[in-house]
Amino acid sequence: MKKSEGQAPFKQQNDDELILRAQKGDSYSFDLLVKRYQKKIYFLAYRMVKNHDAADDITQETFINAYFAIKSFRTGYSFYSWLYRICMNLSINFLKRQKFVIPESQFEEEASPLEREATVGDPSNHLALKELENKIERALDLLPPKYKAVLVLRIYEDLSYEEIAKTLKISLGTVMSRLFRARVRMQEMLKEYKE
Amino acid sequence: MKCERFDKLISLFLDGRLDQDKERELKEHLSECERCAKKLALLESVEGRARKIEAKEPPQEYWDNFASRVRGKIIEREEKSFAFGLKKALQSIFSFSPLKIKVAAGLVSVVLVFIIGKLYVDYRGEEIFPSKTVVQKERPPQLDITKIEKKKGFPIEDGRRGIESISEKPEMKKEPPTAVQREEKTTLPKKVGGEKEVLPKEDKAPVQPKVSEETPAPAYITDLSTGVPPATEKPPELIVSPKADQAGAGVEKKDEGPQETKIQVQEEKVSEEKELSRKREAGKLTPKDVSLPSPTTGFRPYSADDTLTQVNELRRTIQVWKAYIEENPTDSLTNQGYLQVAMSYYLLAKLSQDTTVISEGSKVIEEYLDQIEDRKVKEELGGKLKKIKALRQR
Repeated sequence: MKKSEGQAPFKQQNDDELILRAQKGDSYSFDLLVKRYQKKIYFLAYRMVKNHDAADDITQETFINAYFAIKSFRTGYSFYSWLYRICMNLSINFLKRQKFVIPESQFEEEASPLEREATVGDPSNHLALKELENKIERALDLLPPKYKAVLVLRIYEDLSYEEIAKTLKISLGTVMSRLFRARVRMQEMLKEYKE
Repeated sequence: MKCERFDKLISLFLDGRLDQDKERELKEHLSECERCAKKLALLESVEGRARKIEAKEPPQEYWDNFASRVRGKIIEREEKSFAFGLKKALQSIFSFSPLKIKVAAGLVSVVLVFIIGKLYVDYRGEEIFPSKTVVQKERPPQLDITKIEKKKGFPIEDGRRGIESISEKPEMKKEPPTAVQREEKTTLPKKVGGEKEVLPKEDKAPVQPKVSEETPAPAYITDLSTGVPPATEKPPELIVSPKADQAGAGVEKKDEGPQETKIQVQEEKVSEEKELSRKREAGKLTPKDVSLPSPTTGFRPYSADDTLTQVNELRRTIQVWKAYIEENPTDSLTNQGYLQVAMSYYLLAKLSQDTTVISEGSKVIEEYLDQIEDRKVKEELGGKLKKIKALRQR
């Protein structure tokens, strides 16, 4: 875990250099890669599972899987995209296993009907905004994992259709159709805000 | 229906994936359709709001320790996987399943059988698989002419009976050897004598065979016994060849002399074959070249493929002996020629099962019977004639 002598500072070393060293068994280089992407991967996992402990487990598991498979990684490709893919697969599997478990957000205190009446139709209101955010998150949580994955990657990670297709190993047409269906479901769940 | 079509366009529009024409088309529709416009507004609002939703970030301490926690888990997994792998390996080594035991037992049996077989062959190999040199030593047993003569006093009987008994037993599946084979066998004394020359001088002391000393039997009788045919002109040296005489080998000494190698035999065989074919082409084939087999030379196993060869050989034998009898009606070998012709006809008739052969043979023998003065030969020929005629009746 000691920093090797003669190495460039952390931020100056690109992924490929670190990966090459990690592939040769340099654990310090791998730790640098973990530090570089830990937050991104954690938030991606958290967007998917909406639970800190689960997100923590998924993030750790993502890096552990990456460590044991790093020799198969070909430098020149995006390491972050590779981590994305691992994290999304783990998250989708987690969500599939949690199919019948009500998400954490469902237990959050819901706004009273009175509050709702007061806030609906008045988005400028802070409470109303908070309510909307909760509703959006709840709607996202209720989406099937495969629809949720494309929407999270599109909205939160701002990935292009091509990047989403690559990450999830699906076709471009599938990305389009899944995004469309995810949005239709979101509309249905949030239709009260139409009026 | 129209609005549903635009739902997909709205989704693509939000992601900036619409081309200019479609975008214009959508915008025109949105200006007319309040419902679709609200949909777009909602989605824009929701997604815009969702992007602003900030996840609760864990404290900095969490991030500081995260990499080390990952490292700790990696080490734990590695140890676990190593221990697990080791445990599995040990389990697979020390666990015995019935299939494993069966396979192992089978392999051990095969190896044991191989080892025992190898040891046995090494120990008694010469007895089980005799080498070619050993085979060479074991020549077909030959009759001891001197003993026959002593015992019977008239060896022609035994010799002829031997031929007849073999030819009359179809289950024995024997056949007279071909001319080439007979040549090889008849030249045995020569080979023996030839190799005797290599021996020290004291071994080469000429010993006259008892055959010629004690029983000066008629030439044709001796010839039948040894299977060595006569020369055309001079009196035949049928008892033993001069070389055999020199070596003192004769028939009795054949097993005592040095044995030839296979190569030598083959070479001699080839040269003899060449000589025979040369003579055949030149039309100078003599009875010596096509003489009938003798019980003293032994027979090789009969093969159905050899039938045609046999027939041809017999025909040639008849032809040559007939010619000899015609040319030398008073020669000492003529009596033997009669017998050879008669026996050949009998064998030919038996092999070919041809009535024309029987008729021809009968006719020829009857003619010979008229010519022959020797009583014994006449009796022999008469016996043959009866046998040939009996074949016709069968």
